[in-house]
Amino acid sequence: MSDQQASDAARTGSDVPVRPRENLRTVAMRPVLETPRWWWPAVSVLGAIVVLGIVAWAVQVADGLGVAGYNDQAFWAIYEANLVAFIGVSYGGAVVSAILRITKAGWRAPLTRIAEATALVTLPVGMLFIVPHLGSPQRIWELVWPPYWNLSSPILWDFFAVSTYLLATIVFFYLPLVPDLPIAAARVQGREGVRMRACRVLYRALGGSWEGRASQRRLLEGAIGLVAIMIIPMAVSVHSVLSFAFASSSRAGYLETILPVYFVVAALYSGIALVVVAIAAARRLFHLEAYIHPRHFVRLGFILVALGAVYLYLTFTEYLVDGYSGTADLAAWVHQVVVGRYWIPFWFYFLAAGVVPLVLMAVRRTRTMAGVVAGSSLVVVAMWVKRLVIVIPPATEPLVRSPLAAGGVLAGDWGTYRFTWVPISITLAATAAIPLLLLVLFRFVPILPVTEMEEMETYEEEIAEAVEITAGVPAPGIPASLARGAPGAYVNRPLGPPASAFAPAPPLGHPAPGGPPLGGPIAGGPLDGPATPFGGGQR
Amino acid sequence: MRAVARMVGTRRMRSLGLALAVILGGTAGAVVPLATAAGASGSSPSMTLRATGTQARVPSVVLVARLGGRASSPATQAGVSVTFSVGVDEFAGRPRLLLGSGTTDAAGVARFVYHPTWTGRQDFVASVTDATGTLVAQATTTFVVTAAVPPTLSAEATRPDGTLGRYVVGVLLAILVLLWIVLVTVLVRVHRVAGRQPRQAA
Repeated sequence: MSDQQASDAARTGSDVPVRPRENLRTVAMRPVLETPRWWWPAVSVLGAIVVLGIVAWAVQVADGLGVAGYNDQAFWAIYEANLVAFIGVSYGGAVVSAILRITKAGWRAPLTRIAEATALVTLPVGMLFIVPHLGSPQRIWELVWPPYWNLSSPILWDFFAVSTYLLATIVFFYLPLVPDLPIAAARVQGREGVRMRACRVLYRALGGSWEGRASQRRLLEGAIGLVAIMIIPMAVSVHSVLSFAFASSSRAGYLETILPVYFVVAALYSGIALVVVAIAAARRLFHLEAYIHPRHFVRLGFILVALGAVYLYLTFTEYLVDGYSGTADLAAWVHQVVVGRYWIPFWFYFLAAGVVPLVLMAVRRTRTMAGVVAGSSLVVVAMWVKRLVIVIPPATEPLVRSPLAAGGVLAGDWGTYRFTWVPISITLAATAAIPLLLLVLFRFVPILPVTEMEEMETYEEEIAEAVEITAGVPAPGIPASLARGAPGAYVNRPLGPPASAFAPAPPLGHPAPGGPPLGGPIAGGPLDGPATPFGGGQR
Repeated sequence: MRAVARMVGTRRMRSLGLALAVILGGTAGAVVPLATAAGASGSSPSMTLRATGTQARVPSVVLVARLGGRASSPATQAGVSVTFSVGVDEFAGRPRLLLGSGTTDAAGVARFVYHPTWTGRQDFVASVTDATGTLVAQATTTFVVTAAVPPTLSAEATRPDGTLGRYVVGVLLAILVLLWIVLVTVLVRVHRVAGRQPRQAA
């Protein structure tokens, strides 16, 4: 065992030395250590768009919500749609990573850091939409300061839920980063510059003296597992609570019991689409082709279309039930959305987020990385449009009731929301802020989860070696006890979790104390993951 | 001069003069209806608006609009629909929020009782439009509202199982606090362990 291997074995706490991948470390740290030619122009353009949005918001603060196209009939519009859409897309990154961790899907490894980073940056950006939505910024104080709390208000519970979820997202991003900090610290060691010094301070502050001792690993494994489990119901509850602001108001189109489920599925759907787009962009810009393969996109594409089909069905269910309930308000709303004044955005959503992704994944020729990325890009845009369709039509429906009018509902005119440059600029600024924050974030943290990938690759090699053993060709350095049929041979492990969910993996062929009995069916072995801090994986 | 005299006397010049007279006459004819309309506007009903506050059971503002200017024709004062609105500052341009409408009696008086949902200085407007929507008369008044109806008055009454709801709120807040404790504890523990200095080799 080389010194490096011994060091890595000590770092991971496992008897199985993790084989360091210099190339992987170089690629993962490249955004930190090198500045691509496009970086400053990209950051400048994105930063200018963000500044434009801030100026637009200042104009709105000075002149009122009317400059954003709001009026007494279109009292909720683009900011609420953005709030829902941006917070929604943040769930995709966190939840897809959490589910893949819990299910020990080994192929997740190169994707998790980008997915979690996407969640980390989109959530605060989405939360900021509460500020223009409230109009006067001083009202934020009434939201956060307990004497002003109105516990009957869904907005307050939104604030509680989203801020809790933000904390969970930060923790979920930080924990898997810990084992990579020493690697990153070693790479920036001795380099000059303000940013390099900032990196060193950051790595030291966040846990740069991580050694990978068994006790550290046990703690980290437990923490990651706990937060991964916690974050899934939290994500579900957060978007449900977000829907309460609509679902608890007495307006046709808002007052829907299906809305919480609808919002959760929409959040996951659009979130995974954004993750696909972010991963594709990172793969291209930072040259991650050796680690992020087309098959990753196709697998994410299958998850995407499954959620898309569910969302399509929920849309159908909502409009079917409401349209034929015999209630005048609901019927008028469904009519206007499907064939009336809002038919263009509705059918755009239906085609772009409903039909096209399904077709792209169904046809073998388009079931490719390009197809999935194209479909995901459409989904991101179309699901934002769908949020507009959810928010604006019910707000603009005339519902002034009068006992004098037939049916108790006056046949008034529908209100109109007109987009102005102010909300468009703020929306563009928020959209630009996401890649901007990601570009800045990856100037400080490795873009790939190095430790996790090294452990996965080591594990993969061990499997390959074990398969050679079963074929009667012992690999170099593999003890004879691992030969085909030998007691304890890896391939004879039964189905189930690794020796211990949170304990270092024993070397192949040496059962862990208290681990599962050996000698099970042959199919079980290769499906088990190694006992890594990241839970092993099914390839 | 001879040439000019010859031109004036020609048929062409007479035709030109006739055309000019027709044009001038037409213009004058167009001015007359405008003047008539202005005269009608001048004789259109005038209106006064008065606001008084009551504190009886529900804080209210009584808006009384009195139609005038057509005293000679009482029939035209009765049955006129007067629209009442209040200026709001939530949106740009100080738009008016429609409150409702009232119909004038034989004395030309329309009343509207408004339950304000906010206090402070409020600008009320009463307006009358004709069948085409053209503004015929308008009056404004300012009133300082000192008591308002709580906006959640009706929602409070229809909330089921209020006592149970208080427990639900307590449980939800407890879950929230628990989540924060767990997450912060995880963060602190990992950070403490990851940040611990390496052990010295034995």
